[in-house]
Amino acid sequence: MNLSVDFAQAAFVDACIIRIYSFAICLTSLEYFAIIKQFGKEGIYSWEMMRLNVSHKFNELGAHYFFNKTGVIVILLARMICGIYLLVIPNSIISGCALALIVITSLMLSIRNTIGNDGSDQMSVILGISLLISAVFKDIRIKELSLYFIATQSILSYVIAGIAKLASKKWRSGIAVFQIMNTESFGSKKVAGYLKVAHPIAGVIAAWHIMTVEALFFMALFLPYPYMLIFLFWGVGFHFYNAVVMGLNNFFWVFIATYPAIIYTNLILHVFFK
Amino acid sequence: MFLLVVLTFYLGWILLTCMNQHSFMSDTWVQKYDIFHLVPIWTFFAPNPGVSDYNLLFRVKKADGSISGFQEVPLRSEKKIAMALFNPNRRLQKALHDHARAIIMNVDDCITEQTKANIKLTFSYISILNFCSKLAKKPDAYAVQFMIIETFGYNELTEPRLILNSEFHRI
Repeated sequence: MNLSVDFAQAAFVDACIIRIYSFAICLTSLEYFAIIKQFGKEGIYSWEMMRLNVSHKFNELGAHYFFNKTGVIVILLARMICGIYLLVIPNSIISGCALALIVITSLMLSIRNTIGNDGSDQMSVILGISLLISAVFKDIRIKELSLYFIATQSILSYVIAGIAKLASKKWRSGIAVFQIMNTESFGSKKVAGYLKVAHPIAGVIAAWHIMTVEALFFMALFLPYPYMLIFLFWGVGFHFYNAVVMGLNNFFWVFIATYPAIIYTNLILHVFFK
Repeated sequence: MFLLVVLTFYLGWILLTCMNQHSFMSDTWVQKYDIFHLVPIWTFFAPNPGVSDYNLLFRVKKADGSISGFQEVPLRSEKKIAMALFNPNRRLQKALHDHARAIIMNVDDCITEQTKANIKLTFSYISILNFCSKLAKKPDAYAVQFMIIETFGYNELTEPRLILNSEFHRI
């Protein structure tokens, strides 16, 4: 099997992304199910509280029926069913409907949950909308555009994160890595303990390593295949570390889902400039 | 025709994404109109990474006037390898973390007594109060008080900081 040939086909890449994205949707829904009590009156995601932070327009539109605990259970069930369907059959007419339902419910959850969302949710919505556009329009050029867009947003996420870190004194000095790893929320006692006793250069190397690779992540588009895979393998390792040590498990699936689009864009760029 | 519309849509989204990063002044108006949170912020842990943890505690006043000791709400679970695959508590932690941050921003901005009093009317304050009220399940519980404390990690870099100590609120 020649992977570079497969990844040069928009339909194949589209299906790959849909499958990984669907897995992420199922996982997120299951996680919400596990804390469904929090969506009841007694919980931190209680609609009685959330509605205080939601526009009156949505409240007047009868948002209560969709956003109370039962409504959320229905939304999550719908997302689970659509996710499982897309995992099995990513490219069919019904797949478009399933994607549409996932996007609509994602937007509903975005309105409802004004707190508790993170970057993985944002990338998830970006993926959902662009995959839906790709599914709705049968034009292959629109499918290609959607893949370029996913690749661009993914590359932007790393490059902007890298540049923002480079602009920070805390990151340049290397102290940021220790300080983040020292928090109980995102850190690790072992890693923080090691960084505390290790030579300060360890923190500097870790920080500059992250900043440099992130800021240079756009090279994944320009390096010839398979050398561009270095950045993607780094990304897999980076997100795996973040999942295991920092607990950011959803980032792993959602960001990895964008990688086929990066490979596709890379291959098309190289064909174009050949 | 559709191709042009989709192209414009994607280019606009990318432009807004670039403008929505903290270094641009336009980030505030983008966020104001972005009700679906479609325009991302990609400056993860930068430029100023979070270096502290927020801790939520509450205590209960009984009908007879006696007051219980402060009880910590467990916001963080022990890190396990399984969390790499399934980590539902992250959602709970993130919500409480966001509330705590919103309150801190209000506290930091507070100058007058009036603005301090206004904190009680904020979404985050009311949400945390509601959350703690439901935790105080003792039948004779009369009122609840909560406290947010900022701590600085495994190796305490500085002394814990009291962010907010609420009044007793009748349940």
